[in-house]
Amino acid sequence: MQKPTNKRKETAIKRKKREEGLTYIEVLVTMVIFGVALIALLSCFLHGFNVLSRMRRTVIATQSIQKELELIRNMPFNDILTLDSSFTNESLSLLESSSGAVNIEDSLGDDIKKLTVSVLWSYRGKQMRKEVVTYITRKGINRK
Amino acid sequence: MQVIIKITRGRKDGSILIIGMTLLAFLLVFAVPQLFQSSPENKVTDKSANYSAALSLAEAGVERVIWELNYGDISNWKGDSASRTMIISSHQAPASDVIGDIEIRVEDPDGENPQVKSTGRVTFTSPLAEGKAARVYLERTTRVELERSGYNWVYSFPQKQMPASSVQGSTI
Repeated sequence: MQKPTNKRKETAIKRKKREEGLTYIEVLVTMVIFGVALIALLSCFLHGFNVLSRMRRTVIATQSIQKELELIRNMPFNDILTLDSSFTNESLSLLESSSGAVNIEDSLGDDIKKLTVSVLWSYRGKQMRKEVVTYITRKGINRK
Repeated sequence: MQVIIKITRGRKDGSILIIGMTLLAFLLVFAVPQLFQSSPENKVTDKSANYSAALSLAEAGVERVIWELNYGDISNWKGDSASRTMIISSHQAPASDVIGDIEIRVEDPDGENPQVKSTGRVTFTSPLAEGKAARVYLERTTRVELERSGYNWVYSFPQKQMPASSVQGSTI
């Protein structure tokens, strides 16, 4: 007669064990840990995108400078002397609050000038700048 | 007694997990952005911008030689009739930082076809891992041959434009 009672008891204990779940605290701690890990991962991705975006802008600025420099190198020398102090091109329009500047400075004589082409742009409130300096002469490269 | 042991063991297991996960999170938050900062792509972009600045400096050297031959006096340069050299240190943009140096060498300056070798050198700061940075320089060299056209010297043709693979650069 005792046997069935024991069996019933064992079954009840097994069912109880099976029904045991996680406590609220355990779930909460797990969620916090995964949350922190997720935020950390997300911040990494955001930082990566930020770096990529900054690199893209640097490349655009460099290309703009190169384009303007080549344009100036193919101009007659007298036209260079009357150039505007600012420039723009389609690459430059891709940068936020950007401006291109050309500075022609007197150098050793009338027939040689120091040329500076620079691009300024803002990125996340920070002012960025790239510039290239070279000489231009009356009988120089691309001019006969 | 048995119950107490079980509870203690359980607590230890949990703390290892929490400590491990927290360390991992901190590592992700602080270390990985540093890795991005010193990533090869980032360095390549900076280098590419500086390559262009170095090439412009090298071209400035060629322009300078043409001007010296036409309007100036190249005999003031260091060297003799076989070759003359000049170094323009700290070539500077107006009201800005130093862009770099130019090293110019002219072979046979008094001949019919002087050969010019001009090297533009740019020094910049490159980020490294662990938040450190190194001063790095890179140079580009242009070689051209000049020819006389009437009384003036003209830029003839690029004799040798050194390809990007042979661009020299090093950590200072």
